[in-house]
Amino acid sequence: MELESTISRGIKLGADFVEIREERSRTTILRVVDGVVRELSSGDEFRIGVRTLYKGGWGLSVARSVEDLEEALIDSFELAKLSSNRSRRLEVDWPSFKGNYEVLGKEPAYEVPIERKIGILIDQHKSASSIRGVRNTNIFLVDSIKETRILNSLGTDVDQRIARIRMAAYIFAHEAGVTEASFESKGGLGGMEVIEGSDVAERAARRAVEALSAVPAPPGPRKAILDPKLAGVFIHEAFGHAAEGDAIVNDESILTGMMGKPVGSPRVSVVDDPTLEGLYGSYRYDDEGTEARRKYIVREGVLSSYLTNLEVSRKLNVELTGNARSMDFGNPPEVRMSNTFIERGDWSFEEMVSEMKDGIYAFGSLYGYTDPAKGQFMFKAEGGWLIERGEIVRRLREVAITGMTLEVLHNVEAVGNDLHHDPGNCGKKGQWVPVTTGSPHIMVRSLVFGGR
Amino acid sequence: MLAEEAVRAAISEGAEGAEAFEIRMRKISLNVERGVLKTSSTIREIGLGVRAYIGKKLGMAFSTNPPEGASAGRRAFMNAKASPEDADFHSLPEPRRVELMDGLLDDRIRDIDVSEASSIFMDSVEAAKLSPSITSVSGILTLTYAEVRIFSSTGVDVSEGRTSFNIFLEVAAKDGDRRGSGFNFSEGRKLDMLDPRRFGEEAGEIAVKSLDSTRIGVETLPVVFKPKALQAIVPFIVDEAANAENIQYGRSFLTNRLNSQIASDQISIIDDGRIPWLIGSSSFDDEGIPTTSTRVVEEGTFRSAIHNWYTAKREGRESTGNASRDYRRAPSVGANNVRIEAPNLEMDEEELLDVRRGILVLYTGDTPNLATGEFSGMAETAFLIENGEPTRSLRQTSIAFTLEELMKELDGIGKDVASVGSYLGGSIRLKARVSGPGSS
Repeated sequence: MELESTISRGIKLGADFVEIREERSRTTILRVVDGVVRELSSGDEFRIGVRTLYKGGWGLSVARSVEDLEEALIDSFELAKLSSNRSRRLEVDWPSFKGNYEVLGKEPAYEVPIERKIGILIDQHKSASSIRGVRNTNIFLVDSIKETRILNSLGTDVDQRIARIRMAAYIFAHEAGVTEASFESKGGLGGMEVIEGSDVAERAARRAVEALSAVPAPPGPRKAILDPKLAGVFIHEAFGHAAEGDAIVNDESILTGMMGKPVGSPRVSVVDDPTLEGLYGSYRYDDEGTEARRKYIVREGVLSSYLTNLEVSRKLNVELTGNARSMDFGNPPEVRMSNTFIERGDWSFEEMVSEMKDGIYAFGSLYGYTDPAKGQFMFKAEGGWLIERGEIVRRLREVAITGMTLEVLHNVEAVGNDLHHDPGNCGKKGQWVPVTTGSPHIMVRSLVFGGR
Repeated sequence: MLAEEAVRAAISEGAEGAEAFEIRMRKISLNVERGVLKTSSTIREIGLGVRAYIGKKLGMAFSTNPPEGASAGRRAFMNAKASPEDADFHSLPEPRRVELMDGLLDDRIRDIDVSEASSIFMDSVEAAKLSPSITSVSGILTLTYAEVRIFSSTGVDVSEGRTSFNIFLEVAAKDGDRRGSGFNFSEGRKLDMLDPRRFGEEAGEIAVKSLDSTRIGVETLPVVFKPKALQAIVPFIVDEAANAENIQYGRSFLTNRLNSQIASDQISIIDDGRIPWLIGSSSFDDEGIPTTSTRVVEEGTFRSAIHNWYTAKREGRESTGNASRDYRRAPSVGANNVRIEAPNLEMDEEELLDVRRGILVLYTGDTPNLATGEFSGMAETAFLIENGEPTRSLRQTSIAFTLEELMKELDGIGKDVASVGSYLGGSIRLKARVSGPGSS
């Protein structure tokens, strides 16, 4: 059964809405440890996800080939009926989108001989391991091309071919019984040009070695400067997740009912923009086929937009923002961020250090997570520097930071003029999607640091 | 036949040996939002991963498209050809006698239909709505039936069926300006391990209790970690720190510490892959090597790392049955189930909580630092203990200690043994540095 006729058949069966997502991906995974290829794997995957809506309930089933489509459709419709509930019928009056989008890059990674990719990773290893104190280098390269076609019963029909590539270095340094590690990555949409010329391994190595002389961070509340990587994770974890419309619909967010109200310092504006060229979290059409667009979540401290997908835009009666994303064919699209960042301000880093006088400059990010219902977050910086009398004096390690999202956002006293983006993968409801976090340096009046 | 086809194709291209890892599964997923079922889904998956080698050159390939087994085999060979030599690669796993164990396949999960799964899940969801202050219950239930097969040119040919459930619930509560949240999760291989109503009630109770909250300053206090808070901490000692790959490359704080004392002599920590119905159990690991019980820490002394075939052969020893993989990747090293034994330190819950002032941690999403063994993270769900009683919930509180402090200085282990993720054990009490913004 063809994709289009499957959709008509679904509507005839009684579904309120039918969507088909056909996905084909080709991936190469390369891992070089201490200069030795420890993993070289490549493969193809293909699936067709069929999603139906019936009286407010969704069903999802997956076909392995076009021949299985009819069975998947019937399965999906039966599942939708099981989830349905007459009392929360969803109005299906969404706009439809048509178009196609392709980003393969100047030099598509799938066309590049594996030997050259290995050579790049070996060079990364060499530059990192030549630094005194480096004990172990782990360099990864993952490139993929994903072709997606999304059709639905409202007439949406979009094709997208997106190539993503990411190189990452995880470096361990050791001296006199002390071991430290550091992580750096570079990635984006496109081909080899995204990662070539990058010095991720060397930068990670220098920071791992530097950390050997670090002491644990002093615990308790402190003034803080966050570097772009850490401030980017803060705005993604602590704020972005709370602005995802499903959390608003479900009354699980501190931002419920806050539209148009101040949620932070007037110095802070936050943007989510999937259309930025080449960033790791970019796309033209989201996983429901909605055309992506740039929007302010916060404009000068005031909450100005929630992120939405089809269902949430209807339930909140707000615009579609193109933020429906799923990990793959087997998972329903959820409301997710894309490239989320704090807009540039006008402070230099030196001005912040001198203004702060005493506090902690925290940098890098290992991970972070949030509880949008309580508005509580935690993130783990890779390291930090103690600042005393306006001078950077001592390297810190194990810098854990907890806070209440809105308090911290109100406490932002300065925003830097040096916006920087970082690739990452964001987890929610068991699904991981590529995203970009970003920010300039920011200075915060008080943050709680954990430590010994 | 898929696995044979892939191996045959790699060999006929010129590979000296090849191995296929094949997984077929059926997965039911149910998604609840705001207390009602929102999405139901079923997926049938076939994943095939192939390893092939030529001398000391190793390559891998994968496919999810069944007719392409042969092409995955050929591609694995091509990748081996393109790969430089790895001097530490000795061989693909050789067959070992595998005794198939009971307690991996629950007929109820294997045969369940979506409507029965939904009724079980909704029992949990309804039970969580135990107070008018609860505004939302969300969560996911996943039930999986998987058949795993490993077949190789070296003679490995093993297969078995395994089932599992995985459930989590998030509950939000609101009373005026006060906001609270509760969280619960569980997994195992047998559905009877789950009491849906009790599971839901626990999440709801935490959400309601967390409406009353307080903040503390910087103190050193006795901290009682419940098993759910330990699931990412105690197994880390085995999964990451005692992981042979991490030790061989000098990444772990346990590097060069074999046979030295790293814990109190009251404590033993064991990796055990053969405990019926636990999520980390299987008859054989992901390379077809029988799982076993490895005494990683014995009466305080670090006795053994955990190995897959590659890391074991690198040291001229036997694999401990700890290969872990998905079909896309090369096998890594991973813990099965991690048990902690400390019979002389066992306490009832009342004894564990019997402190004038302390903290009870139900959940933390953080993990320790592999290189240093330090833990510094947020007590995401935690309560202040005052005179032996958990009282108000704590916000913005972080805890710091090292894994060696945990292993050397824990002064009590609860009899409330539970299986959470790969942790099997009771609550643990130790003194740790806690840090918050100050009293309120």
